[in-house]
Amino acid sequence: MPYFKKESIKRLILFFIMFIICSIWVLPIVYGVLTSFKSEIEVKDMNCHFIAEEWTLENYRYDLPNTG
Amino acid sequence: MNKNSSKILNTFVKAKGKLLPFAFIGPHLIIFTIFVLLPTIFGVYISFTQWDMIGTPKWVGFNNFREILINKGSTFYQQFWSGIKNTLIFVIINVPLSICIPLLFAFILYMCPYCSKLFQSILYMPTLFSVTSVGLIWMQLLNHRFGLASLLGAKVPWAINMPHAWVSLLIMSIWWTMGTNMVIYQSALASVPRELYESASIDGANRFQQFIKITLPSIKFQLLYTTVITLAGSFNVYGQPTIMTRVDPGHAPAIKVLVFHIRNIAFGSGQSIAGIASAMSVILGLFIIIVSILQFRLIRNEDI
Repeated sequence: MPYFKKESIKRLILFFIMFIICSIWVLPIVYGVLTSFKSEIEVKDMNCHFIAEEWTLENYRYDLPNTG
Repeated sequence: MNKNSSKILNTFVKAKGKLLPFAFIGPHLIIFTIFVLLPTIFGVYISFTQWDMIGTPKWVGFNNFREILINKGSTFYQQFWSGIKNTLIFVIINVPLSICIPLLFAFILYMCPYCSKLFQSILYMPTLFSVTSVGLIWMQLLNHRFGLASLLGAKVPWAINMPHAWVSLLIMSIWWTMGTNMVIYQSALASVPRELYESASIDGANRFQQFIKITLPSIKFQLLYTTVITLAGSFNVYGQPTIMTRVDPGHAPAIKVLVFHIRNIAFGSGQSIAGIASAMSVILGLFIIIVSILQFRLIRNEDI
């Protein structure tokens, strides 16, 4: 197998490994961001959803009260 | 110009030459003295006194240390030893993982997979968050009633039940702090000449041998630096267990590390016992200094 082909296969395998790791790595951040758009009731709902069922800016309005 | 005035001028020039370096380090020296040196000296002094942070400190000699280290009937003895046990468990598991995992990721990124810059940014990202945000995200994520962990069918209270709390605490700590060490290793790996690997490969050395014989010795000082820094950080762990392993704001955290007790004794509810808290801090500080010196000696001996 030519050297450059072998190199690109190696880089591709490493890419997939890193892709899986980084997807897991970024999950808490994504979850944190998505949770910020959930209402208080939905956050504490026993039937947990990864993505908000009803998107709301309520939490941001609470944190930034003077932004209207 | 007479002889006397030239002598004075000479002395002035010499003195100026000697004082000039102090002018350069002056601002840092002043800040260091005010915010580090004086508080440290005051903290050590307080550890030999009985003080409630209001009245005048009363000198008690080594009584505070005796109370913490020897007096088995004392509450502070129990708190100190349980705190040090928890802290040591955290240090022993966290430090090797916080060295090996970033090193592994740095090495993978060094081999230039596609999108390596993007991966590097993602892996570094958690380091930019505050401990409060990180603690809250993970607390939410691992909540057995409404967290993501419950979605996966794991109804275990990961953040508060033992030994699960340890697992979640370590995962969170590594996730949060790994980026810094990884970046240090990446820059260290980039400085290792590629020719060394090429010659080793011509000589028949495999990847593992190259890593052990070339990579590790070449980044030895960065490894030492990160080990010392991670070790000191791990001994001083406070934010993660306090935020993450707490059921609700009214309850104490499930994992009580030494710094938690120190903080509680000095600034918790009720009368402050700053002398005992300072004595605990001094012992913890000495412990970190001794371990760091041992590490430096180990590396120096290897050099010889």
